Amino acid sequence: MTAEVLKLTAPEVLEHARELLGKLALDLIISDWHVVIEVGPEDLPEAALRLRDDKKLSCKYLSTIIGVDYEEWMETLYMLRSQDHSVPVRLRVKLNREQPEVPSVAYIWSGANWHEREAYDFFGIQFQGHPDLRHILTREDLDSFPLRKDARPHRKRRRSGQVTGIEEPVRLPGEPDKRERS
Amino acid sequence: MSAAGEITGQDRSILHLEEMVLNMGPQHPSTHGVLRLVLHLDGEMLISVDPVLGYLHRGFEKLAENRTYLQYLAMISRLDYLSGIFMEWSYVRSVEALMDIEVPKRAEYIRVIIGELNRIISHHVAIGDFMLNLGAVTPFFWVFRDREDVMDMLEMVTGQRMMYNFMRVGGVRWDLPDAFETDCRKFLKEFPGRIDEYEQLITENEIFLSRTLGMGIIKPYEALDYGISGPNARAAGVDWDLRREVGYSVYPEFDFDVPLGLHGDCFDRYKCRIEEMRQSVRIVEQALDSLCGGPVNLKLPPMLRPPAGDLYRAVESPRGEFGVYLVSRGGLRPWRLKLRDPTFSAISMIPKLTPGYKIADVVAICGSLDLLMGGVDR
Amino acid sequence: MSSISDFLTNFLPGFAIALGVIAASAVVFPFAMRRLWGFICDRLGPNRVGPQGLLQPFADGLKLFIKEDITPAQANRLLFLLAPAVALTTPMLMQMVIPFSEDYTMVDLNIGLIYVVAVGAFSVLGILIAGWASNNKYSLVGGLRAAAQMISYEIPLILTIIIVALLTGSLSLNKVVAAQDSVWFALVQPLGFIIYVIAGVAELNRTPFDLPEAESELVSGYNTEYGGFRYAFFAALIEWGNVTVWAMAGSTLFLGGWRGPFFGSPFWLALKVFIMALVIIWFFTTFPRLQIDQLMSFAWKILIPLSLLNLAATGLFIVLWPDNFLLPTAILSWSCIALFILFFPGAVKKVLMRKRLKLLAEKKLTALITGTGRGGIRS
Repeated sequence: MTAEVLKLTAPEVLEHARELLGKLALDLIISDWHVVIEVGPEDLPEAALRLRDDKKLSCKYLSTIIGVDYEEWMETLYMLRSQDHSVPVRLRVKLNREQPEVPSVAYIWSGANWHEREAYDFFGIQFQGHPDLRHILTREDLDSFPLRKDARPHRKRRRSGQVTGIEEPVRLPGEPDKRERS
Repeated sequence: MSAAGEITGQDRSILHLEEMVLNMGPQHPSTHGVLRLVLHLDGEMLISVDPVLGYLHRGFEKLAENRTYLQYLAMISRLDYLSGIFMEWSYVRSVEALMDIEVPKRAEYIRVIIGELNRIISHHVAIGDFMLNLGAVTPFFWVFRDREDVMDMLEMVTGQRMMYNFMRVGGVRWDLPDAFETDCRKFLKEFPGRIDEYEQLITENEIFLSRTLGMGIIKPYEALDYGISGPNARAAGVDWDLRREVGYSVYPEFDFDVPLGLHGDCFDRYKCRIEEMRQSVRIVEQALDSLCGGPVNLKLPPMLRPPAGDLYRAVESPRGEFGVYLVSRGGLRPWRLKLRDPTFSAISMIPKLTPGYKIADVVAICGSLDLLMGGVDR
Repeated sequence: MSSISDFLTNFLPGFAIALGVIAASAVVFPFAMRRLWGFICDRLGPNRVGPQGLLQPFADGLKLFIKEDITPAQANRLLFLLAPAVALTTPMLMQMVIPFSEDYTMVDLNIGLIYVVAVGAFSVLGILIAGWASNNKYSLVGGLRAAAQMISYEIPLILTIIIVALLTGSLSLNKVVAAQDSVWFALVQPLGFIIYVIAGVAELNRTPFDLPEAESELVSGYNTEYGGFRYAFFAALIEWGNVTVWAMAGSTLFLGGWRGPFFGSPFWLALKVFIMALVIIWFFTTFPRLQIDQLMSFAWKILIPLSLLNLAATGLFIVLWPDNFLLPTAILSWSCIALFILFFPGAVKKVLMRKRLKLLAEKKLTALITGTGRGGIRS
């Protein structure tokens, strides 16, 4: 599948995206040859679907989903690339910090499943409609979200050397309860 | 049993079939690093697999928020430890882009040389581990013998065999020593012969072919969908190589081929890596030929203050696209550093690739995807 | 009275020799394997303990001997302890009928070949018991794989042994060696010999058929839970003891046993055993492992029909030319091998790569490489 790479420049991609998304895009800028499109949380699935299915932009490759915690608001960024042109497209969604919720795009790009789990794991961003939202890199029963700016260490160590705050881990689905050899 | 001899509904319960949950736990000879796979088996056939990550989670992204840019440079090559130079390169590229620095030419060539040598040794381990998973014990020792030659050269340049800590913002740490070029050329002359040795042992072996052809096929659209890049995607037919598309550093000056596979099975992934090793040899030769004089480092102050902004830079590491997203608010320390690892996406594809195969095939597929848990768990 | 003297003169020396042979093989062969494997991998292997590392096996044995004896808590203790003993019966008993020299065989059975086949089946039992009794899913899977594999590969082995019986006209191993005074059976029936070697490698659970103890998947398979000296029992005594008796049987059946150029003595038998074991080590270092379904289909679809045809052809020749049937048999066998060598390596690769080659031809690509390095489409 040797792709014919179109020589699209970033302004061309920006114009095409502007007319593609119309009212969905709140803001479109070019930031060092990436096209950054800002959308609102409710419009995200629609915008993502249009970007993916468009013939010219065809952003089929989701590089990663990044959660960022600016202290007043939170953000999720979706890094998209296309095989047909070499201008990366970034989708930006600004979220409320108290209740960060955004619809999931796991059914649009299958790789988004794990990336969203990681964003949830680190920041507590709730992805609505995600098939299996649980911790991926930290403990399964961790109740705080480590990468937030107001996260504090989980364990308190008292003067006497007694360590508190550790509980028994939760068993994974499918794991039997009794102690088994393997 | 009924009168006709058939097993009726009540009798079926005698044949009590249940699925077996087998835990290929974090300590296992062939999960590369600490990957835990919870396999649901029906006899030997796999029904579903659930990878459990996080056994090597070290909190790299949170640590970055409390380190200056130079301090973090010492840590980042421990991420995907077999290809550490690419982690540093990606990070350094993003800081340089934020600060809008132009790196001296000689430093760029040195970066390419060290990077491609690192790609060679990373592919060595990928091939050796893959063969060990399949049961052939000899290629593993041969690749580690050949790694020693390259690591000797890298130690000559950087002082380290594995965690190089060689890149700096604005160039590299030191210049190449005088003995490096002769050693490197000698190595490059005999290395293609060694690759031929591996191919002679492995590629034409009927047992290897029957174990790997048609196994674990990744289709091109699936590869794009799951975010797989690097040799895994190129073996599936996705013609995407960041060295060529983005053309960072001095890669546009070099003439190299990008191996593509046709089917996306284990054999194609293995073959892509072998051919990429040959192409790396070509690149290093061209880079050695075009080394120019000049400084290798802009002497920047250790306390860097990049201006506020955010950007994403990626390099083509041996496993795929390794990217760094850096948010700076003008301070001494990054505000947010996100590391995009290629193996994370590769492992996310395992629950899709493996059902229906047997345990031994699962191990072979995981070996062919070249997993390295350091980057996944960060 | 006579029974005690019987015991002392017949049983005890035989028992001691059998045990001694197994112990010697457990000492010599692992060390030989590690040194040879090292040389093939361009390294040295163990050479520190004693001159040239010759005391290494004793150091390993001592280390394993002083380890703690751990039995898994939920394991069936009786079966767990019994499994190595059951598995050891094969090497011990099979040596009883092998002629060590012209006048010494421990037990001169006139149905020696049937005895060899029967006793060879005990090793399956031992592995199966070990896999079950360990109370470990990995071990169970390893044990079941081993049972399936070994049962399947018994059949070509038996068919080939029957060929030898046909060529000799008797089931006694002494007569088999006596019948090889002019020419070895390996030269008459090279196809049979090769089938014997392949089926034997599968019986012994060695690479490329070592699925039951596939280290990279099952963490040592059926002997995962065995530690310390029990592990030494399985890995050294039983495994290499089986190799030795298989090689002894093979040398006796096909390579002329104790026969040698000028004199016949146990030395030639030992040499032939050593060479066959070296071939097994060579296989171990070179080949990857076969998958379980490929293994089974190879046995049932290829080896068994082949050995059946071989047997039928040999029987036919014996019926047609009862006086000199050796020559036609040799001609048939060698021509099979020649055809094999000429066509097989290319043929299998072609069959496996056929689709791939067709695609390559369609797309008019000459190699798997495409694309160039000139790039930089950055705007």
